[in-house]
Amino acid sequence: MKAGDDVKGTVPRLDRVLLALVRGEGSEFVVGDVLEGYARDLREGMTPRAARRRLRRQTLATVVRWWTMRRKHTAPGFEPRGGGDGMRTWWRDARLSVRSLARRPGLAIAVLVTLGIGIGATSTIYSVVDAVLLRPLPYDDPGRLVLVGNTFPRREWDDQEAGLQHLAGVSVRNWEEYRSRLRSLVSLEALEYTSILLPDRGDGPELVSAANISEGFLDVLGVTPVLGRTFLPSEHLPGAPPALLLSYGTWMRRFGGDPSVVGQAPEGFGGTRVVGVLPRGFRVPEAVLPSEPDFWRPMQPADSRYESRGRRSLALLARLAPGSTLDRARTEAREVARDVARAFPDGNVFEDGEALGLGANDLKDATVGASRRVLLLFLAAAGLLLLIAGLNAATLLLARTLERSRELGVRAALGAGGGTIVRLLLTESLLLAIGGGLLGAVLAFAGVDLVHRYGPSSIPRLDEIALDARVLAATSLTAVLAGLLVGLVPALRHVRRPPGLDLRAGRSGTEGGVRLRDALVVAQVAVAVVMLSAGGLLLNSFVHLRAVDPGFDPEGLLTLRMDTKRPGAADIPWWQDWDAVLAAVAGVPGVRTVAGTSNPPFQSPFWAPWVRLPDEGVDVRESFAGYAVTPGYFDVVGTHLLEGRGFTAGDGPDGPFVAIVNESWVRARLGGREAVGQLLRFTDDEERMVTVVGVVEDVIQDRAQDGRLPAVYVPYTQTEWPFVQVVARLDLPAATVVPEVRRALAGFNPYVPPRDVRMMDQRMAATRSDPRFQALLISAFAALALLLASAGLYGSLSHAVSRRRREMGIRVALGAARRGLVALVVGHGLRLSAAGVVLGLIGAASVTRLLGRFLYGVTPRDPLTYVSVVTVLGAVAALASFVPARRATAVDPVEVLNEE
Amino acid sequence: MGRALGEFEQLVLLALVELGEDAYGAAIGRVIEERTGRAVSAGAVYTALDRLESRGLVSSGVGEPTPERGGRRKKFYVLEPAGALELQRAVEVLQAMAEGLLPRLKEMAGEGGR
Repeated sequence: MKAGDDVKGTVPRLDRVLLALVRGEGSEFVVGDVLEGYARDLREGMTPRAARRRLRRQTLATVVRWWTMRRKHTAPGFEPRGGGDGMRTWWRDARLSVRSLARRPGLAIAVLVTLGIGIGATSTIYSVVDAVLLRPLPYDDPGRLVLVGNTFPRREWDDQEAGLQHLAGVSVRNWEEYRSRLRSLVSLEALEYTSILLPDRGDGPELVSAANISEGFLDVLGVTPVLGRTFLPSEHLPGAPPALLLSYGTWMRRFGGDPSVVGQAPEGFGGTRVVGVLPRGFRVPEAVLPSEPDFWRPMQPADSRYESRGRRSLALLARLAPGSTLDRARTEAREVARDVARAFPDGNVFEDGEALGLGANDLKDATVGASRRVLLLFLAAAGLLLLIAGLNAATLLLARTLERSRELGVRAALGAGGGTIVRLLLTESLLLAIGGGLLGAVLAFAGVDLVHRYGPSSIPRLDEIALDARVLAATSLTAVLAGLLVGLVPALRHVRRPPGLDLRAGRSGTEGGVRLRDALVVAQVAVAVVMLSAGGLLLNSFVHLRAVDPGFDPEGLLTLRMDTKRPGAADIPWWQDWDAVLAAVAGVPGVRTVAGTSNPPFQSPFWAPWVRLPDEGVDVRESFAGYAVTPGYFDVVGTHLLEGRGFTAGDGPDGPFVAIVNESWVRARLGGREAVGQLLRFTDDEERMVTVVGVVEDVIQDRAQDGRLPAVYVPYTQTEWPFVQVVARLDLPAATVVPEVRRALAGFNPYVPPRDVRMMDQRMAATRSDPRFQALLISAFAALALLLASAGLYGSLSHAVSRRRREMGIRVALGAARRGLVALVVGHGLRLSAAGVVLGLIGAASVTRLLGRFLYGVTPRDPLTYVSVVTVLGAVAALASFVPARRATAVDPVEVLNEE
Repeated sequence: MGRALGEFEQLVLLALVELGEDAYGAAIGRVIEERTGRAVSAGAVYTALDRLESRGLVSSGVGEPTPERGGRRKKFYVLEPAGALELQRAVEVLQAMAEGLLPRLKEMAGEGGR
């Protein structure tokens, strides 16, 4: 290497990159020096490695120094020693702040706890919002995944505002057509949910869930097995040796995580081979299947059972093609569906000429669904709580600053500039906020645990909710911002009124501060009023919900699901089996009465027959909830018969066709005309004339909010409904009766065990868990808000009393009654509360309008709620004034006058 | 009069005295290293020089680029009379303080030995 040689070529890349960081004015010379030093070293005979080492040292030192020493103009007193001196001033401030806070531990703790509560609540809710709404789904490029399904002519949208179409299952043949025609969607893959009956392992045969998937289904999600392989194309053809993929959980639970099970045909699986195991974190999208299937099988589309286009059993998943959007995909889907329906009318076209459509939803939207609104509600509530906490902390700090006016005045006189003092105050509040943030993180940890345990099951992605790095980062940011904003209040107040004047005896010059303090308290009360109103409305709504007459008696009502076909008994009319089932259950001690139905109450009906009045044409299309029931059903569930009669054994398969309707149906279709004796036309598979023989009261069919839908009941024997559910009224507790019932039914049909065995109130609780959770959460927040606001009120009044001690002492000395002092304090408290309540009610009026969709049986302007809120606040204000008022009366005039 | 020169600033100025016309960043660093045995980073030298320049104690000019420096130019520094005066004062101050104390100092440090 000679002088003048270009050194660039030999400089290692890392050093070149680092030196590129040295930028800006004057950087050229510094970098040149470093390079020259390196060149010189090499020239003078240093080994290349040693020279590179030295170069690295120089580079690092230069980069660090360059960026820490960017400040060219420094404060007087700066000495060019190592390290950034900016850091030193902060450290000094921090030490001073800690000392000053330690002198008033009560204040520090109060602010810490207050901010901790606010930050904790916000972090908990944020962790839920983050996991459910913000984080992308755990699949490859999840933003382009869409759910695809058939749509019905009259019901294309589930929630048009949220952009969700109502998607139903798709038949295999239709799927194949759609797949070949669609351009805006690629990889249209399918999943069919089924169940497998596993042989008896000692405690009865076991029905497990399984998913039949198309060839590319796992690829769409970007999943590869962690052991073994996916299905081969040949395994998707009929006649292939059966193959199975295990979910990770199944592999651990059933096979103990034994890797040797891959490639084997486990016992009892009828020769099916396990070909692989899916990865641990993998979960089928909730919008496709609500619960994880235990087994995965290759779907064989060529199988003859998929011939009928009426059998719509597939859930479809696809990716948007590059450059395509959801809207474009939906438009194309509609066209494709029209084409397919025209080419294959059988199974695609309804009797009135309308056709089955095709639609798509963004997978994330479909997963999150209605939760979005609820979660935003919770986030808003947490935000308000944080606001109160912040106002509270600011009030405390402001009050303290007003007291410190003398100390700060001294500091200023000794040379601390306004900027320094502001920095001091901000450092204090920042430290407190950081402490509050830590406390908040701990609280959030517990909060997330509570969510997992008691949260309603309707929260999607529940298992993804955790206090992870993202949430903690958000928490820290919140804490820092809170600290700065809260500290800004006393700091700005200080800047506005320099302390020089306060060195004098007496408290002049701080009146503005007192007004600010009062304003902060009024604000707290106002926010608390808003939250209490919201909480009150939701509670009220929930109470209404519970009080709703469900139209049946849920107490002690057991429901379960049975499939009564026995292998080899396909030609026995299935309702004969039914009678035996019902008799078996009736024989169990503790069972008072039994009946059968296609759907018990509180379950979405499966069946929706087309029912028309005899004179109505094809253009009248109304379908109603349909129920196939056994005689005595209404007595068993406790639904009252209003007119006519119930079904009897005489209503058999050959007898005249009869039906029973509910009051909503009568109101909707007959407009109050006489129902009993009315003829109806059932037009499902074949046309039939049916006579109405009775009218029953309405029964809640799904969530209470859906209220009462028109419904039609037919005798079991006069229809062919394959799904059968048993309802039984119990005399004895469920725990003793249920095992006996299972035993009775298992003996009867060992091939298909009873499923979904539940007590009615369990079912109802599940559907009510949402409104209950909402009401409880918001009320809990509101209660905390009230606590904070009343603490703020109390603190403020105490502060006011201690400031005015002298004035009060003088008043007493001049003959004022002590009662008058109490009136003074209480009056102050009531004035603040009143102002807060008025502001709060105005705020509540606008905010609660947004709650409309969450309320049941209660309007946002419900007067009872608001009256209660005002009353509660009045009581709280009186209580908060109590102690300060007593202290006011305890002022000794002699002591006070001697003070100055 | 302004504030006193820092220790490092003094070293830099002294290097300027030694180097005379060839005084640019890398050279200054090398002189200090050779004379004091202390490793200095280019950044430190330039920062000190910037500060000295803003106080009018040195002035600078820009030279030719060289391939050795990857095509970058050199910045030359010249000691201004004001700077020379400051430096002289600083050195005299130190000498005045240290006068006659060196033997004693050696004695005190000597316990540990070298």
